[in-house]
Amino acid sequence: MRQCCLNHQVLLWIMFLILYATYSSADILVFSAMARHQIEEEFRDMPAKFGGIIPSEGIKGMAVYANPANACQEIQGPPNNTDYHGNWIVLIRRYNCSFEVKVRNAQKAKYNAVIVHNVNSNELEPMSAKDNTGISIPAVFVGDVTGLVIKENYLYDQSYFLLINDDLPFNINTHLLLPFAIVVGICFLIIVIFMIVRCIKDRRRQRRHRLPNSSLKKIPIHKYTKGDPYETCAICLDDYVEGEKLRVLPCAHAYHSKCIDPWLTKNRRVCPVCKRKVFAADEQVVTDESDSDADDTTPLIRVQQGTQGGTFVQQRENPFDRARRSQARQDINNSSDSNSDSDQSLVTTDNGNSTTSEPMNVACDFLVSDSHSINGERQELERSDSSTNPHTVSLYTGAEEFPASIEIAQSRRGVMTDLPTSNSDCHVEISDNVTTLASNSQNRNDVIT
Amino acid sequence: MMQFMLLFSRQGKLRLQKWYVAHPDKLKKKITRELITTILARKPKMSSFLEWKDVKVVYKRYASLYFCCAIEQNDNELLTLEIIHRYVELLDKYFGSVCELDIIFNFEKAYFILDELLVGGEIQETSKKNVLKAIAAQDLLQEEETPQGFFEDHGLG
Repeated sequence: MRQCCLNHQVLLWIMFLILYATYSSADILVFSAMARHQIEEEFRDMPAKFGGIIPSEGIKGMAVYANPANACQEIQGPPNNTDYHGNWIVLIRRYNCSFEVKVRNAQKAKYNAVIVHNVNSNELEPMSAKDNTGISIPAVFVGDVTGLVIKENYLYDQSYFLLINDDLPFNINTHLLLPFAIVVGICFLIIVIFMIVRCIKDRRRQRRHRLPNSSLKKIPIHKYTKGDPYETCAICLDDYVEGEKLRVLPCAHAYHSKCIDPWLTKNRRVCPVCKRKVFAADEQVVTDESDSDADDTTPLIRVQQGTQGGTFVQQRENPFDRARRSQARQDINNSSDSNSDSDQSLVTTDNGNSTTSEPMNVACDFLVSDSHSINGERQELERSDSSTNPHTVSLYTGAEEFPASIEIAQSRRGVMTDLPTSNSDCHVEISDNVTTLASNSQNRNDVIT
Repeated sequence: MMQFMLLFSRQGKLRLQKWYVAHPDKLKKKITRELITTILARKPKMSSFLEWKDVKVVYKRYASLYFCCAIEQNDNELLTLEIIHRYVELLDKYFGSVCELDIIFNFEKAYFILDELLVGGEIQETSKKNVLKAIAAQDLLQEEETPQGFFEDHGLG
């Protein structure tokens, strides 16, 4: 948008310049009397705002320097001792009186045109008059140097003609080619800028589509041995030879490492066979990017996500196995402990006596490390009053498949951390829960399988 | 109770609709149109839940497809999200890496699965296994019913 405005401004400027050049400047051409059509010199001038208009073919005449030079009084008429009967042009100095007076005096002395020259300045000013009635001859204004040059070289006695032109002879260089070149140049510049921006954008996008070297290293390399399920590299169409390095992409397609690496790092991070995007194991799938190119053939669920977790975080292993393992550990601990039976410990908890012994602590630590939370936050479970009813482990009804054992572990942890007499009671709970847990998980397993 | 469920593509084409409340067709169309424009205008990072008119809308995007449910004020959004995901998983299990095209061409199956999962806007069967079993049985039945040849066609078989 801004660029566009800038463009318009520039165009306007150019138009203005062209108009200005054609409208307000005129020219004085100097011809030699000998060679009629050869222009000796060319001066810029500025037509007056009053007086007669310069005819389109110009006024051609011989120049006379006014006497007196400023033409504030009556001046001498054109010399009549020559055999020239054409137009006479009088050259007048500026200042001392108004331009109007000068021109009127010149007209009175029967000159056909007036050139007023500036003094000590080459500035061209438009001449104006308060009252221009009766002035019929045209007048132009020239700079100091121009006036001097005409006075010295091109007066009638040197036999030169002056031609006062209304405007410059059409100059293709300044009038057409230059603006055209400017316009074309600007357009070209804009195109170039546009291309550069596009290029940079493309580059950036491509880089996003490519696989960075750091992730490439994380994609496993496999040394080919006989009996592997891979046979031919789809890129070079060579059969694999024993000991060759194969890059196995997450989609289980394998290629020669030297074939696939340039493709992934320089082209796009997709498997050339199945077009699946290649992500290293720990790399986050950038959803925004994959969003943009999802069409109606994109699988709704990504394989990496796993389908069984729902909105829960995916478990590394079967939680039942984990629960069983931890139970086994506790069993060992409890049996190796002092043969304090559970009832006794329960009493201690109720009293709030934290009589702890080392092995118990160890057991507790195990628990802590093993307790697992869903979605990173601990669930508020109804805390089982361990002394009276240690079996009530509240499972909320929605837990359908796997969360069961997790919650059991959870409840243990909850009990352990929530109760003020933490250390001792944790193992109490456990020791009594073992059977429940075992049976519980057994049942759950039945449901699942 | 879920009021309705809509599946629509990223281009705003409606792929599946299931209404658990009675509305005249005109109103249904209006709701659909407005909801689709509202949801499609939302940025990916924005919340999946929005209060829209007097219902709560829960939507989730899976690849090119938006799953959108409208629930009542006292319903749980997270549970609804879970239902949506469960439905997608079911579709995925049934079709095997389901994509939008599967749903376009086998929309009746998608409806059957949805009907097994939800009845009257409430979840009816949480077990994926059971749902799939029911659908498989249904497919079997359908295959048996299809006439086998010319004679069967004319009741001569």
